[in-house]
Amino acid sequence: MNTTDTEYGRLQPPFSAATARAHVRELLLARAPDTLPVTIDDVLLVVTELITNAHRHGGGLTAFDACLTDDTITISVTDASPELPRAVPHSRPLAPGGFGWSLIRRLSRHVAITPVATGKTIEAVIDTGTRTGPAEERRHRGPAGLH
Amino acid sequence: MSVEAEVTVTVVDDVRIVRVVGEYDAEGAEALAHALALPAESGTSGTVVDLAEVTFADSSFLHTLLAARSRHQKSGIPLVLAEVTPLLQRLLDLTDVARAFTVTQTVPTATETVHARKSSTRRQ
Repeated sequence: MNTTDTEYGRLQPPFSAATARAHVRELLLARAPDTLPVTIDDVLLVVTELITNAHRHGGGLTAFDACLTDDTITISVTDASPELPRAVPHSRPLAPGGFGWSLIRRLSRHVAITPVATGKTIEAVIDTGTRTGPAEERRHRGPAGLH
Repeated sequence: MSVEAEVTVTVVDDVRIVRVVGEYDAEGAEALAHALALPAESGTSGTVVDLAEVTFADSSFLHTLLAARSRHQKSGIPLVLAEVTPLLQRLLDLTDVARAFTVTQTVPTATETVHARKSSTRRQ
């Protein structure tokens, strides 16, 4: 990896979402090896959506950090805009746009937005412990049938 | 490590088979959109999207699929997804858009579905 890695989870922008995914995947495999593959996918999805939002709507990514505890990972993304993210209105569920923020909210235990001098920091806390809830059922339900 | 994103298009019996391989985020969305665009000249019975080898996909991937679905619908041409991986199925379920797509387990089944749709449209 050609990015500066000063602490476990910190990456110095600029870098691509793919680089951040590889970095966080390595971090989870090294420091939380019991994390389920489906959970790793969820974490990488949140990482990607947060970075894409920062690039598209947040005036650019200014800081990125991933911090592990015993049973959570916190992804922190700072961008250059004070404007808050928005989800797609329920009245138009198939209209393009807005899925990203909904996914972040749905997959995180907790999301916090903190204004900073140059924009805002979004922290998404995701459970990494073994999961037995509806998410697992969804994963094993298989593809939808023919309509 | 990540698999390089790659999209290949082949035409079998008038059906366009779009094979999508690798990791997809906002950076790969344009190439995918290009591959899923309907060709200017008609004569295509439909499009099958082979998703068996998608190793990562995000909301931009979903948007691209939904946009392609919308364009196909407007042109009256079927678009069928095949070999949806658990990762993609989860993304479709989490965003509640699974119902928007016709999904089959294999590419040959998807191709049959396209032909069946097309001939039923012709009869009307």
